[in-house]
Amino acid sequence: MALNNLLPTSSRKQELVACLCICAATLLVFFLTVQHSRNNRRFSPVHQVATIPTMDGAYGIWASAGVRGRVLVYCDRRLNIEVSEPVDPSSPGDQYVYASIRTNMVRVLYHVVPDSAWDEVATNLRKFPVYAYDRGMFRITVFDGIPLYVMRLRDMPHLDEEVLLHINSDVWDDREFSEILGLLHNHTLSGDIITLSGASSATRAKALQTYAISQ
Amino acid sequence: MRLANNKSILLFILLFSLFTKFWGLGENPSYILDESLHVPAATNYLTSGHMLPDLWYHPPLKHVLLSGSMALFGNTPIGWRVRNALFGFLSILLLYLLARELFPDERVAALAAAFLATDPVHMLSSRSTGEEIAAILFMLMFLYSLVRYLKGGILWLILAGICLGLALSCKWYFLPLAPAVMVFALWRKKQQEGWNPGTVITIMLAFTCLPVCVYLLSFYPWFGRGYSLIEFYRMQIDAFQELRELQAGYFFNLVKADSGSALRWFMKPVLVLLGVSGEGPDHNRYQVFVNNFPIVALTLPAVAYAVLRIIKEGKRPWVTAPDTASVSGSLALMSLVFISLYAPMLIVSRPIFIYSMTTILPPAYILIAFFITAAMDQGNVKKDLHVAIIVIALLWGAYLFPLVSGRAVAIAAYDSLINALLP
Repeated sequence: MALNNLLPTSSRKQELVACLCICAATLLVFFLTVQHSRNNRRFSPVHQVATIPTMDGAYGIWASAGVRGRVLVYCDRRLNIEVSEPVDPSSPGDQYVYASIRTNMVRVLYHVVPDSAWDEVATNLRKFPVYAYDRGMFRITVFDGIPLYVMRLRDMPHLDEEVLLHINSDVWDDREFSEILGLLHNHTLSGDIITLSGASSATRAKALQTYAISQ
Repeated sequence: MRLANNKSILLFILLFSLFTKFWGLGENPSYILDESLHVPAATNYLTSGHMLPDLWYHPPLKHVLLSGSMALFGNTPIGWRVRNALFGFLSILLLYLLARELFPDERVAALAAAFLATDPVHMLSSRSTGEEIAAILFMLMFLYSLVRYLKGGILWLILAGICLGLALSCKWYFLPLAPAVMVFALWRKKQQEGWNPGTVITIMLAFTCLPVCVYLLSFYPWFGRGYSLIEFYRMQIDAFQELRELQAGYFFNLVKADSGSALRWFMKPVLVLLGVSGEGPDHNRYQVFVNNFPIVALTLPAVAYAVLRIIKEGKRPWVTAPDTASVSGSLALMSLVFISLYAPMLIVSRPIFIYSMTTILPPAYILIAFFITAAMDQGNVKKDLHVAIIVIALLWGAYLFPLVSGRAVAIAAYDSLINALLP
């Protein structure tokens, strides 16, 4: 029988049942997806501030805290996104950011660049039209589709969830560091694990400890 | 045509297909085509939600299916390839069933199945890990279910929606197809039963919610990395941007040679030599992508003929008595499927590779088969001439089989063909 030869088919009751089943299935799938996503975000039970000799030291702290599916706010001049596979998750070295993504500790990256470096960074990124620019932020995808936002401190958006805050203290002057503290105190950012490296990290860590205790 | 005759023709086509899909499937122990990306990505995806080293901007159902195949048959060449061999075989059977549902003349179904069974691009893709084969199987399941729904039975509509979701979770090629076929289904139902809001809502829900559900579920391991639905939405936008910006230079040089317009797929012979290695002084092993010329050359005339036939029959009522020979509805559906799949490939700015044509082959072969049978009827030739055409197609497919399966062949038997077709 060709497709032209059609007869009336399903009843209204059948259609109603089908509609209800489809709607129920859709709600169930959305619920399952959201739950699955939430269940796979793990936060540190206690707020902590750690000073580390080098930036890659943060990896061990995140791993031992058992974090998973997190937002990393990375405050440094440069972010190493050069990758040479395979990466050893037990000692990733310079590729610790990538390793934290591959081991699912991190899912989204915010790279905060000092004001002094912004012109150079923005000029470089504007060479790639595919990198979307909106409200002071570049949006890029790296590795296997990981969202990477590049911005200055002043353009940092409000983030609802607690982040892993990772700071290279050496590239931020006192005014900018105060701005970071300000973001924490006005709840634009909140971090359960704050890692700080660099020569001036010990004194600045005290200020951050005050914040952590207040949380 | 006698029923027994039809059954034996189908059996013969299926045996040929079984042979060309499965014989020597695991003989090549090395990765071929993109297997070096697909196999580790399948393992990565299920264990960690990552799609590396494969391209992240393609839908991930292929990883899930390949993982299943490897779970059953091991991380071996058979385990990598058996999924596509099985799906490729099933797609031929399903194409036959679809064509039989669409057209009262069973010669159309037999010819279409024979053409797909002997298509060298389909043969090669069925012997590797590319997602196109799974995608066309799901597309055929979607179309078959839809046609069954239009003939009666609401469960077929549910199945159609799920199959559309499965197809979209393998490839985005079917995005333009979904709204086009949904409008077709609504229009046919309106002709059949008049304007009924309940039917409209049911069809629209089945064509939107169910595919979205299946698509979301295929990302379940990815959501296991902590991503939210908003991040999922942004990721899809990013994936679309990434695909749009792809340049030929990104791909391996070998495949790069094949990048270019999809127009030529149905216009002239296209051969891409993926590899050649010596096997003694007189024998070589080749691995080629080659279109099914000259059969595919009939595609565009067949589409034009279908459109003319629809216009001609359009003057009559579309819903007619069960004994009518009118096939304009079936032709309209197949033409719509063909155009909605092929047109985006013609206008897209990114490189398109010859294996992408696999997804367009089922509607193309149904239209070609109808075109040939119509020509046979008008030419007053013997009714059984299609059997001869099928035999010739199978012989041609058997000749091309060693080229696409990397078997050692006498250089003298293939050298002139390869040299003639190489750009």
